[in-house]
Amino acid sequence: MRRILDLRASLSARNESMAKQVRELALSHGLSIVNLVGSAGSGKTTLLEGTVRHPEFRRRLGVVEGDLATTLDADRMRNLGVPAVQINTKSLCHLEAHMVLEAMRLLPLEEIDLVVVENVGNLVCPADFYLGEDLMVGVLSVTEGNDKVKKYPTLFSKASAVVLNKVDLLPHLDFDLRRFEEELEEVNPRARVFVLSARSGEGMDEWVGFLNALRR
Amino acid sequence: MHEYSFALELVRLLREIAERYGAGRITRARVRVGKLKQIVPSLLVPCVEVVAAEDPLLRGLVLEVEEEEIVYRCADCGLEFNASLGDLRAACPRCGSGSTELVAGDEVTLICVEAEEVEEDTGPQG
Repeated sequence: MRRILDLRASLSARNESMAKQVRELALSHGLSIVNLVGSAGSGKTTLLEGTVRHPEFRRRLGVVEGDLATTLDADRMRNLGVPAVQINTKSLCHLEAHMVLEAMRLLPLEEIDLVVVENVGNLVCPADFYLGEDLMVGVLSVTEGNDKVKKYPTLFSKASAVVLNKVDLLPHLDFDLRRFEEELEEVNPRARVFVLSARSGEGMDEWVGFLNALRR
Repeated sequence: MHEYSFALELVRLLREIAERYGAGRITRARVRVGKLKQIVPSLLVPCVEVVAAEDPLLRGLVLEVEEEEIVYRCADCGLEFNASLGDLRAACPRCGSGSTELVAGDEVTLICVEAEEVEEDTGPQG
């Protein structure tokens, strides 16, 4: 005999419950969490390096790095004295909350007040997995082109803030800044936008001020 | 290829359901996928079939996928409106407000399953 069972069960429930544990851990240690999402090569790690080096940066940072392979990014952060845990996802294209929970337990949580999770370089899949962060920040670099906001709408519609990186290269490119801003406004009218170059330091003051002011 | 993550979770959930309800086999499952989730149904189905094939409780499972529209609600005028992934516009088309909230299209939900009951051995009839 066959019968139909009505269920309405969310396939994100398990990830969400792990994300809740990440949040509880963050709350109990007074931490803010930022989930940094952008393409491979958009400058996410360079943005973090520029942030740590900025004279006005007041947060005690810890970093969780997500990459398919290597500890290169965690090494870069450790070279600046930032506690960092590297997750190697091997073939997985995004981080999930249970990985972040495990990684956060390896950070010296008593010594930090901001955790940045640098997601696997990818504009698609990371947008579908909540990690327990306070903010998801999208990172786009001008070399990728101004049409990416409309092409990857899930990420850019969910991000609380968007960093447009490498703007020191604008004179050499066809990137249409006004178009980028208009399209982001359509996809996500609430997003804060930071136009900057982590390499040259241009525009970094505002970004650093934003991180300094994040609720703890 | 995040379809695989959802396939693994779906199969885990189906196995749990089969055990909870004492079903001999789950023959059919219906899943609703929000369009903002970027899940490709034609990739999700074979992913689930491959994972399900390893389990006698799920062998031959037929997966049906329905899509859910993206819906925002305006915090200022209360209008609920659809958005399309191809040209996503989140501002309110009536009052122009940017204070809108996503109310549908970002979930993946197992709606229902068809379960085959275990054939009970009723013993010798007399």
